[in-house]
Amino acid sequence: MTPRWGRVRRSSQVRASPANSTDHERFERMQQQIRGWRFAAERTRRRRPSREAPLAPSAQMIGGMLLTGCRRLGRMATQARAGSRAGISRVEDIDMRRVAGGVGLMAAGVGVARYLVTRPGRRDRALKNRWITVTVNCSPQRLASRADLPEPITRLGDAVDIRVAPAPGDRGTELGARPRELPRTKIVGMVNRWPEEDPRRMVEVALRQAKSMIETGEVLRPDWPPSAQPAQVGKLLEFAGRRGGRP
Amino acid sequence: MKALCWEGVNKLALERVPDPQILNDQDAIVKVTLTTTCGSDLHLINGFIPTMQSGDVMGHEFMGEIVDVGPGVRRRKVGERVVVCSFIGCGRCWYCTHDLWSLCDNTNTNWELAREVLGFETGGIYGYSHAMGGFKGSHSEYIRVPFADYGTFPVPDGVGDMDALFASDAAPTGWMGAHLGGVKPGDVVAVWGAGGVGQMAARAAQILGAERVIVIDRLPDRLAMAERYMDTETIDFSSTDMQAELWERTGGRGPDVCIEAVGMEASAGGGVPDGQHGYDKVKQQLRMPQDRPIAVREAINACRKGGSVFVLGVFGGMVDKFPLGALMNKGLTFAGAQQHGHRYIPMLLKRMASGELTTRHLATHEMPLEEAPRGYEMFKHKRDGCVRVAFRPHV
Repeated sequence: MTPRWGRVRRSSQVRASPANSTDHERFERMQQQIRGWRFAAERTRRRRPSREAPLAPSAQMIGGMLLTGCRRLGRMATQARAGSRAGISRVEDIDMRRVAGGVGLMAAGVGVARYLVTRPGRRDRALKNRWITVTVNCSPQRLASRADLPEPITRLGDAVDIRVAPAPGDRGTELGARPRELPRTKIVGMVNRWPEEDPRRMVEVALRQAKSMIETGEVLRPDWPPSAQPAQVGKLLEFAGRRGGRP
Repeated sequence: MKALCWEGVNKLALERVPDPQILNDQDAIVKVTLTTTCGSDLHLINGFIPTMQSGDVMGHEFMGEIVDVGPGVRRRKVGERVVVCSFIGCGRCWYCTHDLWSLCDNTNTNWELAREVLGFETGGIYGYSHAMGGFKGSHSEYIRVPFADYGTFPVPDGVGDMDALFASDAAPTGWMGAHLGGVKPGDVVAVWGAGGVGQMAARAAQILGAERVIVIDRLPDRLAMAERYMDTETIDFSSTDMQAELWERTGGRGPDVCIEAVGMEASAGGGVPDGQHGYDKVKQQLRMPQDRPIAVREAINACRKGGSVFVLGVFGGMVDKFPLGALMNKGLTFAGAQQHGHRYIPMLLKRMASGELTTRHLATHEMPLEEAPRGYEMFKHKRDGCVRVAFRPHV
């Protein structure tokens, strides 16, 4: 009798699965993005060499969102009034305003929450490209050269700086990495806070995966599907609370 | 397959969920023979642990039979009867190699979420929210067990399923409290909570040489069980001034080691009408500093000068009115941990095989998985003398 678990995919099959290729594509994209940001950063620096205030892009982004939201709300209200004059019932008019107002407020609330959660502290502003470090339970000789590092790190190529140092006591080896350049464009704040596109987050994920590969030989995959019915509200809250590129 | 799922605060339901898969080379699939309720599940059910999602499979304390292994599994084979540690350890990070298994660096697949929500990350655990890895729980017919060479433990022939079941969590957690709490021969040990973990902590303290062990609770059935199976002294804190009683019984010194096995939803007694319970409960309902650390406060206040307090009960966030002054000025050693079960389970199974440690009495109720919502209702409200309910998914 074929056991019920006979239908499960073996690890070898999993490696070729769409989920895994998504990982691969994400890292390919990440490498290109980091390079792209470097290019953009260089261009921006040439054009505006004095622009150093890290908070300004975030403030501009939120201000822009709020301004756009207000304009849209105003436009919708105007249209609603026009519709009312054209014979659309007054009740519909009021409902639409409420809905539009609610959506606008919600978007503004999410924006402000994200800003408050993700804004860097005063000290962090000067150190926003800190080394991201993990401690690997192996000897420093095991990580003597770039060639000794596992794929999650080597995939990043020359887009990252890497440093290796022995940890004190018997704690292994400190493996650090950071993007060579961070973008300084107007949209940097927004992009940095979109978790999938944050170069620093990508580097941290790669470091964690490299550590796991060195220590255990594999990267543990989460149970799938994660739950029967993912909660959309929970996802929204999680997104709103993410710290993005915060070191 | 069928599984007991969390559907919202105070909502559990039996559902059909996808069968588990071998996703990593070092995975195994275990057919769950027995799985049990745990007091810490109530924190999930009552909504005090964040990042639960509708449809999450509950349960983390279980045993069963290996029915499939990945190509990277070397020490286990199909057909073995095993107990599985409720925490997942990789066995090779610094924490695992130093016997701090619940702090494993490589098994929480949602480490970013854990950092966001909790501010830190632990190792992965079955059926215990997405911040703890999002792994499916054991209240199901089958379960995926990552790093199976390290997380599964063959059950000796002389040990029955119902004894082995509690080697998954309750017994190692209790043992850890006594061991890391520093119980030495001749000590007086007080244990807050006479549930499964509290009783196991009391028994561990006895085995480690404690001269007297005092178990504190308010439920007569549980206190009677501690007296009957562990031969411990007991205090019903709902009918006496517990602290005065402890000092009286310990010559005015207080216990040498205090083990808290209650957790974030503690109750206060009628002995000292200090309003702690109401105060903490209001704050908890308002989602302000949310845990109710009543037993922790009591343990710190009762412990002898220079003694040791160990926290086994689960806490999720902040606490209020923490007696830091007593902790510091009395020179106490204060520690806590989620269970490092991999360190203790083989030893505990040997003690079970030799008859030194019995655990089956903890399973006061046994029922098929289909009746799990009713079982949890009974467990939550401590009806019918319920200490633990054991579910059989394959009846």
